[in-house]
Amino acid sequence: MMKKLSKLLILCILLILPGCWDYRDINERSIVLSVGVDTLGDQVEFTGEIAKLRSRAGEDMNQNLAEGTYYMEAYGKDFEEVRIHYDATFPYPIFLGATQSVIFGENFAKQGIEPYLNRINKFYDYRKTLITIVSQVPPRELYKINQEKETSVGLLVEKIVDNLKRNKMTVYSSFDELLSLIQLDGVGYLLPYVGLKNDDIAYLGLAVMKDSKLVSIIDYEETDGLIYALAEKPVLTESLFSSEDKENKASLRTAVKRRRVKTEYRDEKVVFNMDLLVNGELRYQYFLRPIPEEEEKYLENLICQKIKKDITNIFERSQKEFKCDIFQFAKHFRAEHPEIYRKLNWEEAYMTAELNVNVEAEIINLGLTDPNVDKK
Amino acid sequence: MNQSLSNKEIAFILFGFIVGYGLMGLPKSTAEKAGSGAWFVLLLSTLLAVIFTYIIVYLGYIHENKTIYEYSEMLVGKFLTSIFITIYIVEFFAFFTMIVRGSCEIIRLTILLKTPLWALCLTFFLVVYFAIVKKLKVIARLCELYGIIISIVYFIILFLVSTQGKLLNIRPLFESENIVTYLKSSLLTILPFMGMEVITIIPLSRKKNGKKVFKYATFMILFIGFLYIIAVESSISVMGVESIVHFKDSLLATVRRVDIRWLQFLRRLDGVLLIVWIMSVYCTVAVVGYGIVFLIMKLFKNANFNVVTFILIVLSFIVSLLPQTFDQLEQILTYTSYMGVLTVVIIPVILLIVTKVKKYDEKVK
Repeated sequence: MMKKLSKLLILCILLILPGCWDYRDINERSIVLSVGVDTLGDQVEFTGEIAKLRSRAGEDMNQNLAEGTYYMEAYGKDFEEVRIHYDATFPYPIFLGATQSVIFGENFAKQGIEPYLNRINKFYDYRKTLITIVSQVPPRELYKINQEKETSVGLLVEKIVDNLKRNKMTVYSSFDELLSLIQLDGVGYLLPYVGLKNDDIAYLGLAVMKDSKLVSIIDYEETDGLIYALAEKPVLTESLFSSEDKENKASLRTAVKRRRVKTEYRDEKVVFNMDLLVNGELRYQYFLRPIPEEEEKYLENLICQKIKKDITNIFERSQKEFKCDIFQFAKHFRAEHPEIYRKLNWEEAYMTAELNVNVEAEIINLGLTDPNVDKK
Repeated sequence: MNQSLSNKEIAFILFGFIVGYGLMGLPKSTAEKAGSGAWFVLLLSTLLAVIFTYIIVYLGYIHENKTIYEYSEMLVGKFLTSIFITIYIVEFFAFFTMIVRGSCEIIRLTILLKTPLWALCLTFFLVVYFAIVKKLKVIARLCELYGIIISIVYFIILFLVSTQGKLLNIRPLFESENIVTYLKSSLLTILPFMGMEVITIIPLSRKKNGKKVFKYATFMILFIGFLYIIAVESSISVMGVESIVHFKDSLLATVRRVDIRWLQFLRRLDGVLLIVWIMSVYCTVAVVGYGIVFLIMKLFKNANFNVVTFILIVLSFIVSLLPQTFDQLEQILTYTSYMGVLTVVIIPVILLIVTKVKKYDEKVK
């Protein structure tokens, strides 16, 4: 009797546990792929892309197919009001779990993105690994651009930025780093900056954020210094003129093998000492010429100077123009001198700080071609 | 009624009881008190926990095959024993109800957003009821099986999390100026280690358990301390002290911020973490629940075990729904942890002193 009863009970539980009685099919949800946030006049604007999902007619009805995206737009005086208008235009509940990128318009970024970061942080369905991006073009215009590289603009932007990060060609803070950095006074952070170049959506450089407000832009060509100083094991390409032949250029792959940051507090001044060990590999020369040892030394010296200049230029800009510590030196200083750090006003201390960059470069190989061959 | 256990089972019952609900908020609470020196504070509290565990195991070892009810009655008399047992019952009951409520609250806030709280609590209590009526031996085996799974999965997750963290975030590792703060906080951080009082309800046998029981129990506490240190340090390495202090579910929040591409469909580890966390809470609740029923049975000798368990479950279900807010619940849990000082430190020490004064230990030697 008991056995029969327990079997019955197990069957009942099987019916209850799957929770299928109020399920919703995937095409009955508005799956948001990308969200744009901007201001228009004194109103907050939400834009974005929603996946178009359709069942294939005539075939397996359960199979859904992504067919591009819908564009959406809503306005209001604050996030909550916009969301009310937003919800009012959709036939299905909004699902944010698939959102890969949040794109901030320049106007909104200048006013401060911290409230929206907190919104992402606290909303359960937002992924905490999404990418936050600043756009030169207002998101409402960006999303309407016709492009064929990806199924949606949001996806394209995210893929471009992600690809650059994977190849160590950009350096920006991930979402969890942002949350930690906004708690530190005087410390800024970098976000990818996208926009239009020759009518194509492109990565344009890095947006400098101080107190979560956009203060300046660093052009793509000028970001090398930051990559050398911040990226994890970066590998860059440098093209350098040879010493004798000013027409000839050597293309070198430079890899940071070791980076050490030491901090000091001297004469009431904060000093950062950055030591870099860089290995160079010759990829090719524009014109094949012999590279004697002196030429190698010359190239090594050029690499050192170039890297040093790249880093100090950005450091000086960060003191004079951005007025915030975008190198996150505060974390290094706090780790080494916690007592002094607590007493300092970091923003002021950083403005008068000194940076010593010491670069050691070594060309470790000239590739498989031998430029120094004896011609008979 | 008294059921003896093997040394391994005792060690895993300790693991099952201690590791559970508290781990979720541990990175926050230790980072709040000691910043990046959290590991040192945890190390100190682990050592303190080892001492108290040793005392409790010693009591059980000296008074062979007896639980706290029997040896306390022998040492301090019936009246004081009833007070002691009542304190244990009240503490266990508060833990039992509030941990279930707290866990369900976290489950509701993180994965089952629309499920009513009472439904979650009811399901939890019913499954726990099933474990309790199977009594100590089965619960110990459950803890052993789950304990192995929980610790392996935790270590894998924490290792993966730490690969995404930055060493810079956990520095300075130690500040000598803060040593006083560290010492003070280590006394407060011992709360997540509370749970060794469970040994008072397990009869130890000198023949079966031998002196090795001390080794097993001590090793388990050290192991838990190690797990805690790894959990806290890897969370801080990802989030940084300044950010982690804002999250009550700091461990889950850390794991949710980690995205490991090469794990493919498992790249988001939060689901796995929640599963093992719920398993560990289940172990805690099953052991505590058994503890309550066991002690009540000692006070009311003629009661029926299954009936008492049933009444306990019904009562706990009602009480678990009483706190109106999450803050109230946390307050109750904090006060209950303070009661832990009585059950882990004061009562065992009193009993130890009396044992020494009455020279029971010499008879053993």
